[in-house]
Parts: sequence; C-alpha cells; structure tokens
Amino acid sequence: MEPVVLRNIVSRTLSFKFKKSPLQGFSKCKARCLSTSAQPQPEKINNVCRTHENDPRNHTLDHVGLYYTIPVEEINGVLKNCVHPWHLRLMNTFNEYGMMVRKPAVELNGYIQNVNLNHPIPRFVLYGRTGAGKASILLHTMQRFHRDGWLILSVPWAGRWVRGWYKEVSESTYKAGRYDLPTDGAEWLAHFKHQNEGKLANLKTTSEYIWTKRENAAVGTPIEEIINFGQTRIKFSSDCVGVILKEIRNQAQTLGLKVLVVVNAVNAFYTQWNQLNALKNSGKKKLHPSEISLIHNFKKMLTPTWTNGVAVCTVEEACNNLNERENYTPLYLLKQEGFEALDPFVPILVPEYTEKEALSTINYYIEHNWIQNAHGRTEEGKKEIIFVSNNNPFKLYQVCTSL
Amino acid sequence: MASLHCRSSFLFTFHRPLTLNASLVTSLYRQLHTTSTFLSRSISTQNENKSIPINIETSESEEEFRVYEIEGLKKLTELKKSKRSLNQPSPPRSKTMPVDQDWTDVWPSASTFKWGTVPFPVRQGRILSSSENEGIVPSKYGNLELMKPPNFLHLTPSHIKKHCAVLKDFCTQWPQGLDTDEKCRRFFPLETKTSDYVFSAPSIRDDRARFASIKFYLSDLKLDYHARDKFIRLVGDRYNKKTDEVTFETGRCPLKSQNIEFLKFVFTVVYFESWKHEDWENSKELQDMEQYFWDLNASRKNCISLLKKIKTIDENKATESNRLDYLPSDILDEDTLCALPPIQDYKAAIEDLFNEGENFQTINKYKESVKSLLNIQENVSL
Repeated sequence: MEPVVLRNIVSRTLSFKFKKSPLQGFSKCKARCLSTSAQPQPEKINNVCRTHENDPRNHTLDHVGLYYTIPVEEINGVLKNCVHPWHLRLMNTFNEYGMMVRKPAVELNGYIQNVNLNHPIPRFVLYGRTGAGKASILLHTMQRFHRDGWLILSVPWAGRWVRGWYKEVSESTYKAGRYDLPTDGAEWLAHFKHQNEGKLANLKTTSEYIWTKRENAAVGTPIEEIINFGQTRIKFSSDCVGVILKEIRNQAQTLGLKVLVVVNAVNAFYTQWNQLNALKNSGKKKLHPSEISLIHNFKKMLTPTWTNGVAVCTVEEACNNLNERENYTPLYLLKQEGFEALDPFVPILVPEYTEKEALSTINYYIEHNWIQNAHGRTEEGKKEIIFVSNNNPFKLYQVCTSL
Repeated sequence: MASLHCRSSFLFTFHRPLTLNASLVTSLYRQLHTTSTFLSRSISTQNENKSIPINIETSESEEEFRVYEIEGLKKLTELKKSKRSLNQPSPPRSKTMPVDQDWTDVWPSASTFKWGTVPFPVRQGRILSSSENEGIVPSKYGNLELMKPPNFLHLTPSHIKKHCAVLKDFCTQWPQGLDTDEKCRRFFPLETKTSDYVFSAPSIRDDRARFASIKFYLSDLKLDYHARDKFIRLVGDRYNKKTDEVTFETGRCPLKSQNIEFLKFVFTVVYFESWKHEDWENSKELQDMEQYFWDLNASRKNCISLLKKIKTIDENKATESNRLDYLPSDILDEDTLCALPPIQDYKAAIEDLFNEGENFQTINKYKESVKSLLNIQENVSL
C-alpha cells in the first residue's frame, strides 16, 4: 500500500511544482508518466462515470453526466488557452483529458447543427453562476465543430482586453480616438493561427491594405501572411485582427466557410471596467470598451450582418464592476446597451450539477485516486461533499483538492 | 433610695391621668429627669465619701441580709423584649377571587401590571446563568419586568362587549345592501377620514382634530394610459403602487370641514390636469419613459431589419429547410410585419423581461420566442 501513497504524493508535488513554474513544460516531467496512482481503476457497476463515446458529434442526452476523453492533440491545438488553468492542471495530473458531457452543451450543439447558415448569424448566450461550467461548454462546442471543419474565432476571456497592469496602450493608426492593444492583438493572432491550423489556406484578402508607405498587403495576400505581419509588427496587430475578421465576414459565404465565433465573458465588451487596473490612455482617462479597437472589431462579429456563422457567448459576473454582480442573468450583466447589441439571442442556462452529475464527478475523482480519504469514498462522504460544495462544479473541485 | 422609689412611684401614678395634657407631661418628665440625675449624683457622692457599703434597712425585710450590688460589677440580665403581635398581611387578592367573578370590575381601565391582582401564573425576565434564581425565570411576585410593558388586561372580550353595549345607543342602523366590502367600495369610492379628540381640560379644542384625509382607488377613475401615468407622476408618493390606492392628507386650513373641501378640490384639479396634454410633454424621450416599450426601442428596428434580410435570403435561395415560413410573401409595411404572431410573442417577451425583471419565467419566455422568431430548432435527439 505504501509505495502507491508515496507515488501519489510525488505526482501531486510535481503538479504543484508545475503550477509554480509554468515555463517548465509538463511534457518534460518524466516522473508523471511513470506514476500509476492516477491510472483509472476498473469501474464498479454503480460507479459509472465515463462514456466510451469520445466523439462529441455523437453525444446525446444519454451521455449527459458522463466523462469522455479529449485527445491531447486537441487540448494543445484547438482548445489551447481556452481551458481554465485549474482544469488543465487537474487534467495533467490525471494524465487524461476527461470532460463531462453536459445538457446545455448537447442542447447548444443541437441548435447550431440545425441552424440555417444562409441566414444572418444567430447568437447564443450562456449564463449561469460562477463556476457552473460555462467555459467548459464552450470547449465541448468548439471541439465538436472543430471536428466538422468549422473555422473557430475564440476570445478565451474578454476581460483580458479591458484590464491589465502596465499594459501597452497606443492610439490607433487607423482611426483617431480608438486605442490598440499591440500585445493582446499579437497574442490573439497567434491563438487564432494555432486554433485553425490548416484551415486558412484558402483565405486570401479581397482588398488592398496599406500599413505604411513601404508596407502594404495587396489583393490576394494569404491571411497567414497578414497574421505573420501582425505578429512581427505588433504595432499593427489590432488592425490585422480587424482585417482578418472583416475578410472572414465577407468571404464566409462565397468560400462556403462555416465560422464559429466564441466569446467568453462578452459583457466585458459593453460595460466600463472601473477598477484600478483599467486601461488608460496617455491622458490617464479610463478607456471605454468601445474605444478599444480589438473589441470594436469583435463586436462586428456579433452583429447579424454576415452569414455562414454562429456566435456563442457567455456572460460572467467577474467582468462587471464589484457593485454590479448581484445577478448572473444576461440582461443584468449586459445592461441595455449590450442586450440590444446581441438581441435577439437565445439565452441558455448553465445550471449547477445535478445529483447524478456531481456523483459522476466524485466517482471520476475516486477513480483517479484524487479522493484518498476513506470517508470520502463512502456513500455518506459523497453526499457530504455534494452538500458542502452546493452542487457547484468549481466548488466541488475545491472541496475535493484537500481530500 | 427609698425616697427615690417613692418619688418615682408617685410620678408614675400621676402619669396616666395626665397623658392628655402634653405640655404638662413633658414638664413632669423633665422634672423626673432632673430629679433622678440629682439623686444619682447625690448617691455617688455618698459612695465616694464613705467608700464602704452601706446597708439601708427597710421596713419590708429587716431580717434578710441584703447584698449591696455595685453598679457595673455584675452583668445585668438582658431585658426581655416585649413581643409585639405582628399584623399578618392579608393574602394577595388573586388568591381570594371567585372563579366566576367579573373581570371588568377587577381591572376596569388601563393600568400597570399588579402581581397581586392578576390571577394567572406568569413569568418574565432574564436570568444570567443556571445559578441565578435556580435557573428559573422569575415569577410575577414583585416582578418589575412585568410592569414595564403595556398590558391589555383592560381590553378583554368582556370589556369590549361592555364598551359596545354602551356605544350601541349612539349607533345608527347599517344600510341594507352594503353587506360586503366590495359593495362598500363600489358605492362609496371616496373614503374620508377625520379624528376627534375627547379629554377633560379647560379647553375642549384640540389642534390635531383639523387633519383630514381622503382615500380612493386609482382604478375607480376614468383615465387613459397617458392620464394615468401623469396622475401618478403628479401625486408622487401619495400613490401606493401595491394597493392601487391614492391618499391625500392635509391640515393646512384651521377647520376640519375646510380641509375636507380643500382635499376634494385638489383631487378634482389633479384629475383634470392629468387629462391635459401640454406642449412640453411631446419632448419626452426614450430615457424619460416609465417602462420599456419595444416599439420605441432599438430592438424593434433591429428585429425588422433582420427579418427583412432573412426574407430576401429566403426568396433568393430555394432551400426548403429552416425557412421562416411565417413571413408573408409580400411585406407591405413594418406595422403589418409587427402584427405577425411570432413577432407579437417576441415583443411581449422582451417587454416582460425589461418591465417585470429577469427571472426564469421571463428569460425562458424570451428564449422560446426568439427560437420561434428565428426558427432555431432543437436537435431531434433532445
């Protein structure tokens, strides 16, 4: 018994080490690969927590509450930067990228499947309490439509674009009164390129873009070249984002592209962030989100002026100011301005775990030896964990870390 | 010593008949006092001078050898206190009450709690720990905590019955047909309230008696949407939104009747004023609206342009699936478009969402209406 426990401690310490120094790549940690403690043990009949249907395209309501495995290529490819750090750390510790099939995800994927792509884009807004799993549903949807070959434009967390300590803010060269975030723009370009590896070959510009006297992009320049330009000349990265988004909007129909726009915490686009780390211009004036060119460009992706696409957003309490977090419903968080910009949209509630889902998660943790406390493995202990976490997925994770 | 005895006895014999005359008694006492001091002094001088015990022979016991007792040498036997017969307090009234007594006679009017009069057991107060008062809340005996709060022992049902019986002579018969509150409200929509103050004082006037108030239901008035909104804005906090009541109250005139007349005048003026359309009312903007109107907001414009766009796409593309079938082949104007049932549903849902507030019902209603508006279908497997 002893060596197992010891090994487990080793693997946990390593995961902790990884948390402290993210530069040290987790794939280089050889000890984890040798660890057997996190290996799934054979399931008992009443502790079923996983499905062997690993293709999200085949998920139906029958799979709700069960875990499926995402291949590591997709975690490091299309879903890169989109998984919450704590979630990714947990997945790395388990040495398996398991995720639960949830009902809102199945519902959302069903809607998108049935959408008439010839119509202007429909919009879906996920809302729910903090930690209820809105971002995880975005992962499920992104993975599902990535497999169908859709182009994915995702903003991992929109709150990042309205705040930051010592973040560079420069006035836009394209339009006065608007402000660029060169680093964030370049980061998003890299993210976009990484997510859509191999899907951008056909995409070429349809008009000429002149950056400076000497630098310009003629008609027919491949989009990848624009991305490279934005990454090397990060002064123009925000403009490059605008160009790419505009080209995608214009050509989605002609090229027959299918585009999935995913914005996590879309309310950051419409509410002024007033905290100390708000972005300010050279005159120390706090910037309104509409003045930031990245957000201005992305808002256009959420208007129904183009076809062959779908927009999926979430609203998050954390992106509103401290005095505006009483409710988690879309109208409250978006306010009238944001609501009117997205209206008409389909609001989808992401509820907290049902008892079945919570039990499934606990069983999954037990299977991976994450819950080692003997009491935590009993029926009574499971009930206690569910009660203490109040069925909230993130709280459940937090409660189980110390068990 | 013999002289002393005889003198004192003489004095005491004369004491009783002389009690009535106070001055004389005091003079006699004073006399006695002076006499005794004089005598004792004379004895002590005798003692000092002779310094040997003296035997004084008396006529009563000549044979017996009497011992001279030096004062202070031997302990005096304690005098027995005369036992006074104490008057036992009578038991509390509550113990002697008959069971079928009339309580209104015992407690006729409002008064502080009296422990001896209240016949039932009652406890009140706080004990700090189980050691205090043996952990029991103090009983009514001498309990100050029971005297602090006001009591209603003077307002028992039998009291009220007596009050009513007295007041009955002053009442008139209740009008026939006004048997329910609903009918009262319908036939007498205006409720006037005044107060009279009765007390005994040199002046029977009371300043508070001039106040008057009138109350009516806003739904009883004939008002259109604009007039109703203006009426509510004019009366301000005098309108209770929950009960739909408007209450006017005033005490600005010196007489009650004047105040009632004034209130009726104000009521009339506000009513007719709310029906008036002033020029400046046309400059009311979207921000001034008291609630959300879909027709005036950006949502309607966006929705119509979206539907028109979808219509042109549907006409150009011949695909059968997921078309918006409810749109007519020729859209004449925006108003006929807005009258279509899915759009009406959507309008109702969005107005509910804003005016009623967000809850699961309104959000789900909005969701369903948007799904039918844009023909977004669930997956078959759902």
